[in-house]
Amino acid sequence: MKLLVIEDDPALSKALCDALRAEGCAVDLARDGEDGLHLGETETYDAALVDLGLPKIDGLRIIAGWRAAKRDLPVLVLTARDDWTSKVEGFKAGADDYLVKPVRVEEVIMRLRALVRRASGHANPEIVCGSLSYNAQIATFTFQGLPLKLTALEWRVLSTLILRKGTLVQRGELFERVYESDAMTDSNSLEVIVARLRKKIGAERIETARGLGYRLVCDG
Amino acid sequence: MAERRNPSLARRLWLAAIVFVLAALTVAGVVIDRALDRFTVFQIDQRLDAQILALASAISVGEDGGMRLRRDLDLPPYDRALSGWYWQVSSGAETEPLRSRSLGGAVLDTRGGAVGPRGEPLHLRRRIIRLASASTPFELVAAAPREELSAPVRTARRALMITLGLLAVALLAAATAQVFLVLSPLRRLSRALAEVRAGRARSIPERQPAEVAGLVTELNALLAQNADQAERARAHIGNLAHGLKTPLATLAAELRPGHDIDREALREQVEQMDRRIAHHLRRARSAALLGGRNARTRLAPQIDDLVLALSRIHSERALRFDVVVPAEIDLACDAHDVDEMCGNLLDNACKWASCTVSVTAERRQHKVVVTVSDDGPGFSAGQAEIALSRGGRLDEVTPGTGFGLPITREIAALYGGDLVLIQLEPGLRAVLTLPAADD
Repeated sequence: MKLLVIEDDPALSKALCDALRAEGCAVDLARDGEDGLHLGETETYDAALVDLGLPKIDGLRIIAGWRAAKRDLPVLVLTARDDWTSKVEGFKAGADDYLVKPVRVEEVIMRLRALVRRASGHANPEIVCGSLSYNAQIATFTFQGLPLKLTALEWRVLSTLILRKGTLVQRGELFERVYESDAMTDSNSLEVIVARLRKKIGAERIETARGLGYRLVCDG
Repeated sequence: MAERRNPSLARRLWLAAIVFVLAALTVAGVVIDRALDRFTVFQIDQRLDAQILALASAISVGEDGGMRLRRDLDLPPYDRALSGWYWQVSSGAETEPLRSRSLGGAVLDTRGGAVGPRGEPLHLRRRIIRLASASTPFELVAAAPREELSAPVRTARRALMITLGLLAVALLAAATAQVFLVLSPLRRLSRALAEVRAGRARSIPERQPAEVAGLVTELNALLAQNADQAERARAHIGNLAHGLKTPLATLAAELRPGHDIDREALREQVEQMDRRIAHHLRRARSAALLGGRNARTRLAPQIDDLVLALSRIHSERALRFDVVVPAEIDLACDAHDVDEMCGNLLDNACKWASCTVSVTAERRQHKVVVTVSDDGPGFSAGQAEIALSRGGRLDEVTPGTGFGLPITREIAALYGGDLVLIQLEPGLRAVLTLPAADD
């Protein structure tokens, strides 16, 4: 799961990014509205966490800008404005959920997970794929009834695949959803991760469409 | 300089009085002068016409065809030489005209300018008569000195000017007194207001002339509103301080040296303080405190927007919203406050509803009754009291500030409205009463 955080307060943005990374997410941080708007328009994210009071470009305008450009990534608004008029404005601009500061980081993570799950069309938090199942609420996998231990990168790849189980996930897109934008990575590293995952859940579960991408196979 | 920017009422009244008094007196002067003139001319004409009439009746023509008078008509002032009062009877060019003694042998030239033998200007009356005994008509002329006309008019005019002048002075003095008297309540008002500002009085005396009574009532209402706001603000600062000190004391105790920190307890205290601050900030934001009562907000679009927001917030639950709000209902409340009150009620209903949240609104005379109902578990009357008291939170698990219902009730109260909770079978109905905007 890769997230975009647009927050100008250094302390809060650090706390959020640390907590989100600790939960296994890849996080890109933008410290002002201009950067945030640009990143959201050009990079691929599973969800964005947007503060409303931002330097350069206001959060509401960022969301409206994305929606106008047909970028439909789920947006969680995080703001100090707790009045209903601001909330209504946020939702009208195209936000998907709204949290008022101060918030517990657990709450932010929970809401983001729910947004990502709903955006991929799963109404139920429990996503099952054969003997593999994923609880999107607590972001953990079980395989053959037992908890599956995964590294952060493995979890990012597998959660992306299971949210779109049965369909092909483009290699480039998977790459974008797994690595932070400024990460120095070798393009072969994705193959290494997939290979490790195959060892854990069975080689036949992850199908390779050569040169295109990967698909999680659920039947059987 | 200040007067130039802020024209003085006294000066304006004064200028108006001067203009009107002078205009009225000028018109009156001209009209009276004309009347005097006509009257004098009329008097003189009457005397001259009487003389002409006497001449006409006395005139006769002799056997020789010469004119003569049957009576002596040279009564004073026609007998005094060159008196200016003359008469003359002429018939044709060849016969010597009959004349008054005052002419002293001179002949009045009735064709040219009316000028007497001394060259004095004359006022003439003339009549042509025919007698059966004579072949040519007679021209009868009587004259009076012009001076006789203008002298009385001059005298009367001087008296008139003096009278009108005195009248003007008197009227302007009266206008001055009037301006002073009329404006004195304003001066008293400004002194009374200064007293209030200085803290020596709480309001302005209500006994005032009818014209400023409305102003005074409004001013007193404003003063009362200010005092009320200051009082409320003080009370709320007190509440806020009190509400923050308790968790702060707990925090201090929790953080004392040599004590194992209970992180969860600390967090709970921080959240409690946040809830307090949020409540007081929301209340402070309410426009009702700043005269939002004069606002006008259409209810239906606000509810529609809130339902959109809440359906997103609670999208997990796929709640159904039944909204029956007539399009023409207007509230006499600020739009933000309407959002705040209705948003809290709807949010609360969404939290507890099992599948349906319904909203209705109805106008009842000067009030609008908004109901928000859910089909959740509801609660008992005692629990309703807790839910409406500040900081009361029935369920610590359901996320929320726990201040939604109390703040709604407080804002409604600021508008003179009310919030009542009613138990349904099943569910809970919140009945919010707010002032309707006048049609």
